[in-house]
Amino acid sequence: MVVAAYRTPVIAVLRKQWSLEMEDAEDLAHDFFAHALEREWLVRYDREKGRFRTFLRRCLQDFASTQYESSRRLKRGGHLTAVSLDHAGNMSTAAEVDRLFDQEWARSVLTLSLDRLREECGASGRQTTFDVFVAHDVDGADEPPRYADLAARFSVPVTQVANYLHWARNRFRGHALETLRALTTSDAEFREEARTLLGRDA
Amino acid sequence: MMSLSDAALTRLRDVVDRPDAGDRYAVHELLGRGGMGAVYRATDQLLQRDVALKVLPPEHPEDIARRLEREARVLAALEHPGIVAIHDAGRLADGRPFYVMRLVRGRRLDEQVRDETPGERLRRFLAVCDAVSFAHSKGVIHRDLKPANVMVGEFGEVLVLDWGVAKRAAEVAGDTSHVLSAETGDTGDGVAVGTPGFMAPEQLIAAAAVDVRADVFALGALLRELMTGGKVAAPLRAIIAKATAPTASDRYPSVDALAADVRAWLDGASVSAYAEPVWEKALRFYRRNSALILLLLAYVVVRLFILWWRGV
Amino acid sequence: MNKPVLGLVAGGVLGIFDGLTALVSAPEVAPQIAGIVAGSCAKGLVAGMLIGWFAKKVNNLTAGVVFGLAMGALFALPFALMPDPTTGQKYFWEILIPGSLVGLIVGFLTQRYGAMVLARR
Repeated sequence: MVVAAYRTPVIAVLRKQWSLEMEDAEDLAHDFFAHALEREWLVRYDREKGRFRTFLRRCLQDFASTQYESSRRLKRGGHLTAVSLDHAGNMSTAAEVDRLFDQEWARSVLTLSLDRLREECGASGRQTTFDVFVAHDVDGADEPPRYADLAARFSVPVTQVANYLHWARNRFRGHALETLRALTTSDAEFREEARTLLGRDA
Repeated sequence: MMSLSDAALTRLRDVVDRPDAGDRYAVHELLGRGGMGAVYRATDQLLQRDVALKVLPPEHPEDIARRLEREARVLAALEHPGIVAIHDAGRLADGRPFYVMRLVRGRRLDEQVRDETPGERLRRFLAVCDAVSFAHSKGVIHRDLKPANVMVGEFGEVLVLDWGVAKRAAEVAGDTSHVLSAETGDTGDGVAVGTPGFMAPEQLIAAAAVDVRADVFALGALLRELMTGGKVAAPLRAIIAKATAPTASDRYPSVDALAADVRAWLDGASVSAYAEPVWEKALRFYRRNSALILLLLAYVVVRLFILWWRGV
Repeated sequence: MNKPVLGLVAGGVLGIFDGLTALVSAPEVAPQIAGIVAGSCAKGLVAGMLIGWFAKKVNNLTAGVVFGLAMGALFALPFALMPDPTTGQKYFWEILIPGSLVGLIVGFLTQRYGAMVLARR
């Protein structure tokens, strides 16, 4: 669950802050999580000292900085690492990178929640409900389609569209909060992370 | 795994956050957010009118839920033209407590008074005192009076809002939920109670008894805020000083006593908080009774004239 | 204090005062001062009560002052026309003008300071 939720924001930060190509960022992210599990960094997390997300961000910063230093030493020594970090041209501020991390983390969590909703709908024979929800609130987020158009597209009565959306939104909300609960270790952290997830910190 | 666009991310955040108030209320835009939840503009589909819907965030802890429900009960018990009326309360389908109240279209008190004379500002202030005094008569202390919690409606009515931290007087003594954390400004449950600058000192002390004089303090601070931007007369400064005295026993014993002094000042009468020098007393007497004094003087002049004329 | 009572009290007090000032403006009437004061007081009481009653019916400062002036003049007139029994002198303006002024003052007092009693429905 932790890797699933944090993989995308870790990759995004590596790409933005360390100017990596996608493939290199993915490789480094894989290394980061492998290191974290192997060296048991995550076990060292102390909830008294702050949010897990902040802790992980710091671990990533330390890991990437270490990699950067290593790659500089190796360059000077003439050897190449599998991934070379080029920090030189990057003008992003720490605040911008943090915002990116938070945004991608929220995107990850909501994506996981959407997957859970898809599984639930698939298991309970409500595929059409899920499809209507995605068509209106995900794919149609910029310009939501009219209920009549959705009704025609999915061959359901217009009145049923509102019912599907109502049900799916409630279930989606539940999955989002459950996912968040699984990623947090206390009520206070849960509430703080909810504020970030819902963009209220901005 | 599906990939979400930025627009989809924004939309799904809204789906999680926005309350689903069922068939009765159609929820529209967010009006404001505070420690005790968010307020949305909504439409009561049954009565076809706009209302304000206050609801807790989806991640609310249960004790905050109980607090919101208590706020609704407090509002329901306070039927007064100066206190925003509550229409409905309950729990949403997702378990979040909510209540529905009158949608106030107007301005914050401190914004409204910028264009008003001192006399008008004082009359607005007296309207606030009326509402708070009524609440006290029902045993309810507001505990968070400040300019942001007072609105002037579109018909000029003054409304006291946000009774979220109000308590019945019997519950307040020994209640520690109003204690601020020095670091975060929050209570232990993350909800700020009261506002620095408008909170009486006793509201910052654990287990201290907080009574109606805490609201007197806040009203004094509110009065000071309303009267800034110009020269404030000595009697008014004395009223403000007495209302905001650090020790509760040095303040007005009630909101009615504070309002009585403000009214006295508006009427040109003597103010209990101000030790008036004799010459000021005489000047005030003259100003209040100048017409009568001049008439009596005219009588004396006429008498003297007759005396002189007869001598001639 | 309601308006008729205020008119009564003010009229009586000012009437006494008005009567006493005769000692200053016309010292020769000193032997009759008791009668002058009594008469002035009585005049003030009756005029004052009428002015106060008017103020109860009509809540208008100008009207009250004008009515007071008129009542003051009306009640002062007989005394102003009456010659002094001892000296035979008339003190027409010396009585009429101050008397009218007193009526005006009582009219002002009852309009401005008297408590209005709301009609019971």
